[in-house]
Amino acid sequence: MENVLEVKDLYVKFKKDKKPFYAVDGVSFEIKEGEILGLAGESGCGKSSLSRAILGIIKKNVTGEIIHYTKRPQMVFQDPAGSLDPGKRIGFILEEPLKIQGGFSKEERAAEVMNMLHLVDLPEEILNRFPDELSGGQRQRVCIAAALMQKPKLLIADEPVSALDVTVQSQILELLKKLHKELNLSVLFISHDLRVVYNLCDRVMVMKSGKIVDMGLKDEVFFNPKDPYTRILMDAARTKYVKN
Amino acid sequence: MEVNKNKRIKLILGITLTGIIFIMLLLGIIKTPYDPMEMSSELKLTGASFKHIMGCDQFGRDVFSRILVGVKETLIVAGAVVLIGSFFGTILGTITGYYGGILDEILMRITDAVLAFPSILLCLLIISLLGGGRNTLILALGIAFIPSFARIIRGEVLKIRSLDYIYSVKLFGASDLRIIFIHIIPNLKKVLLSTVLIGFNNAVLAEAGMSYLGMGVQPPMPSLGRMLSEAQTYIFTNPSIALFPGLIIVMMILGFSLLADAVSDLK
Amino acid sequence: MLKVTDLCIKVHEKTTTDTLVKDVDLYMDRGDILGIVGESGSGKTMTALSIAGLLSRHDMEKSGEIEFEGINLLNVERRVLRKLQGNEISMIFQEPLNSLNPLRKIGWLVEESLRIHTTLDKEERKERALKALRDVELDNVEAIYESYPHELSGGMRQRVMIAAAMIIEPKLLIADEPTTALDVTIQAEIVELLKKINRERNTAILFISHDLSLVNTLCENVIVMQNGLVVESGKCSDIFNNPQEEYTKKLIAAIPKSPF
Repeated sequence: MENVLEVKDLYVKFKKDKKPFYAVDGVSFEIKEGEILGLAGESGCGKSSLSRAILGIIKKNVTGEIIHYTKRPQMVFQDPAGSLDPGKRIGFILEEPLKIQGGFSKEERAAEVMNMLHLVDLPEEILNRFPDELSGGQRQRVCIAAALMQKPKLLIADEPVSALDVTVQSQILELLKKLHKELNLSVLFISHDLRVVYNLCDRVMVMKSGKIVDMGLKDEVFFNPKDPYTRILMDAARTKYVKN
Repeated sequence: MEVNKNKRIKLILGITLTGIIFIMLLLGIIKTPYDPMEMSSELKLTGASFKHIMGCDQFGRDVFSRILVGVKETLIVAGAVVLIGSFFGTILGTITGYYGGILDEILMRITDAVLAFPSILLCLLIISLLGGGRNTLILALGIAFIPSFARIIRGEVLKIRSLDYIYSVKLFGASDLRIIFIHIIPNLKKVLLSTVLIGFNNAVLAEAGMSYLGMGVQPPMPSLGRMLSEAQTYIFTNPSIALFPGLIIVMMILGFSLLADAVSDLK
Repeated sequence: MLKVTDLCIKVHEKTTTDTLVKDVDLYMDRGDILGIVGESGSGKTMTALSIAGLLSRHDMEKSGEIEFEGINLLNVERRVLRKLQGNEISMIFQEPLNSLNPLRKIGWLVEESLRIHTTLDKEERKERALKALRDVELDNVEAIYESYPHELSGGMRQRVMIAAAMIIEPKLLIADEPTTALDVTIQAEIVELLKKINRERNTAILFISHDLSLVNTLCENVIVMQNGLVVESGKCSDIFNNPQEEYTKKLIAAIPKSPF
């Protein structure tokens, strides 16, 4: 399988209390075509900085190599309310990526939007609504749809279900699985919920203080962790989720 | 429930007061009962009567007619000032807020300097350079109003700029211009509306103040501030000619403030 | 100890009336751990706030009974309610940073309910506060006593909240999503701490969460709420292994499968 993304020796430097501080501290990995790679870690471990550096949202003080083998990847954010323009109708929001890309007639754009709506299981009426008229789950579906309009090969999902209710979470995860299968989409899935990571991903990376401390097939990382920190993380999850 | 009631009272009162002012503005444009410039020696300083409902001033001119025209003049000045202030303020605030960096630093220091400088003094400076009159007053007050607008808009743009939806549009490859005009400026609407209403108030007061000092609308044209300043001499003998323009200014300010408040309360 | 019968909370807005909580019944004895689970808008937090006496009185219409140690909290005088709050009933919240006054030192914050409910002098209060901080398994308590909330980590802040809530040994501790804002490793520690408090001091805990599996590990009994109504209630093990209602089944099915 070919790589869609390669990251080599990536550093992201910030200044904290006038001392340099590496939010991402020498990270290397690759994502293969059609795979879901999980990135687990606690808050402040640098997972958001990593994803934002990959996407080029942070450019300053980023060193290392980020090689994209495909079109630019897209992102789904944690808070679906904040990632939709509050003043635009859903129809506009979904058309916008195509307008920016250019080369589509009005009819072609409308047809693409309709296709996408069916793909993410949203009703047509939604096109005329504003983001604040939708439920959290619907909004996240719109975000995913918008992110896929330009047909990227790689999707970065940063805690896409953490702000949602449990029942909605499972629906969105099902949707991601389905899209992954139907579009042969590669996904970098960032989450703090180890159960979700295990259910969704093929390979898993564990991040701590800007470093990737563990990486491998999910069963290996979950049940035979090499790194002491991964072991602590797994034990914590076990006490939390298993009744003794 | 209590809160809602208050809001509704505010809105209704605000609309009523601004409505009255608006009708006066229309009358001032279409037709006044008397020529506001026509003097008459018999009618000098006569009080209110059925013919002259607000009485006549020291030159025998009908106060009501003069107020109608004065409202028009004052609103023209205030409107133009707010237009200049909000237009350039929005441009400056959006550019500095969006791009940040050195440009932001420089422009914000300049606005700091302008803000720190008393605006009356600034206006005096410009007027003494360009000569008095309505248009210079508009220019002077307009310039004095830009920094405060720029500040507010910049703050809002800073907030919007770091929202996820701007990132997501950036990831689609949108240009800066597209982001600014399609995704940022339309979302400034609400902030802009309430700032404009408050700014309008300040402009009315500033116009009145400057004309009172004799630097705005030139005689014999009336403006509310001018009329107040002219009535000053007769404040003890004929308080009514000062009372009416003053009352109208109060109504105007109160109306716009209430309206601005009600608008900013609307979700 | 605590008996809630037919609790209803309604909000009147303009012409419409929203019922946030409808006919909720629950019962707790000393030392019980009861969980309330539900999604956002289920009324679980409203129920908890009304039991803690924290819902302001005018904008909401409350009916039913909240009987705590024989006193009906819904129509008792403010004075009596204040005596119970912090003394017999304490509460901890989701985001400890928002619930600790940023301008006060930890020591001052932890001592607050002693200042209100007892006549202890300064030294005695400090002694009690240090003990309370030690009881929630904080190290270096002298230093923490002198620090400000923002200088501590999220987990430490939540421990401080628990120390402040437990300093007067209340009979009932209400915990509203106390681990949601915390990292997994810290969450597990806080859950262990709550279990320990319950075991050693026989404090009853009303644990509110959207996380069913967490409730299952901590609580004996559970109430499942949806849209202000109690959908199902009973022993945790029964409800998990044999849910009766459609909604409960849906909720349980939605829990991510645990690999552990």
